[in-house]
Amino acid sequence: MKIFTSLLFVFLFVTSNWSQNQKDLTTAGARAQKSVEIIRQFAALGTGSLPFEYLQKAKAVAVFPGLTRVNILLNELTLGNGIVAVRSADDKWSVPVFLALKAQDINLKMAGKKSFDAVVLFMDDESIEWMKKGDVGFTSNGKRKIALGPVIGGKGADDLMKTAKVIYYAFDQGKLIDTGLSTDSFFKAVGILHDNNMNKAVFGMKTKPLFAAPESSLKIPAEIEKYRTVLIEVLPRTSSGQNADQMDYNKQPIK
Amino acid sequence: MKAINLFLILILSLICQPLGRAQDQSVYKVQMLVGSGKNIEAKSAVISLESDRIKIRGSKKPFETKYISFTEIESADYTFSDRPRYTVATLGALAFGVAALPVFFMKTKKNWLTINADKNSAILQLQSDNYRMLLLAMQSKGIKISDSGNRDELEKVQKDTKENSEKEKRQKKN
Repeated sequence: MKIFTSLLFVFLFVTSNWSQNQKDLTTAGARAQKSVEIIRQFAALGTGSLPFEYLQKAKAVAVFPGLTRVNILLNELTLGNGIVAVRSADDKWSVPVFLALKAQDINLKMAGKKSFDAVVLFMDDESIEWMKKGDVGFTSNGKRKIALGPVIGGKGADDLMKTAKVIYYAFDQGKLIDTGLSTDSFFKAVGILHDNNMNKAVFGMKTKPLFAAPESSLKIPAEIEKYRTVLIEVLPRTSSGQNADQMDYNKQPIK
Repeated sequence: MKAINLFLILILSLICQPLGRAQDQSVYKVQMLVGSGKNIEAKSAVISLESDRIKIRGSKKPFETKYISFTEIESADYTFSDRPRYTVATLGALAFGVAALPVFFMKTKKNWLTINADKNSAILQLQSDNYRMLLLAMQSKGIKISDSGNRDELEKVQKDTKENSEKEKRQKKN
């Protein structure tokens, strides 16, 4: 009887873990799929637009679909999960890795809820190192700033890009909006963290070793691979490694 | 028969509603600064981009609809101001005391677009949920807009430059 009970427990443990893993894989696939749609929305802004120019120049592109902002008693919390791919020196995109985002601020609103999508662009190698280390906190002080990416060129855009290594664009139903992840407020703090649970479920390892792991050792689910495919498709480069912003693009009108 | 007619009207109105909404996508709500006597008032308006001109229509009467042709535009300038909420903070401090202290550190962002045209000019205060799409849409129509950044900083730089040039002039005279 004891053996039977033990076997039953082992069976239940294995099946519950398996179902949790299946659930995580489904969530990961859905998140990647939504991120693909958001990248396509970004591309629809027009290849001649300034946001698209920054998307082309970015060294890593992270998408956080369906970030939730909740206002409770002057506190404003923004929470959500996303996916990132890093561009290497030889012009290839890394395996998509899962991230989480948490932001905190104060606001005069007593209660409220809002959902939006964000595309976060890491513009240099240093900012990618921050992200790879995890637990990156962005605040209004110091050099770790995250700013709302510019939409038109000029002095303001130039000044902003001199100080911000990480920029973001927020979307609401495919339209660019001005909603805050910017660390311009005194109380604002934004954290881009590792989503270890999801990376463990999908790739069988935590985020830090995943960034260092050779691609050949990883099994990438087809739905997650789509995120990398859309980046290659939207941000094409020539075989000679010529930067995309030097290429002759046909300007697309804004829809 | 009446019932059928009513049913048809209902169906037609339901079909037409999404079309109306789709057309509204290129209409942006703004506040337009209008001079009335010695004062300047901000009046609600909607801005839409037609094939060759900008149409600014007031939400309330009396407000003349303004048309600015794309070719007529000499320059368009985007600026923003980012100022602390002193009035709200002071009122909060009076009502809630120290608890309202954080409000002194909170800022309100306002977005501005100045369109300088040959005959018509407009100063518009843009809304945070649509100004980015409006600027992109204007640029896609071939209107060159310049992002001048923070208005307060710009004014400070202009003031400093003016003071420096005046100082230099005075020194040269001496």
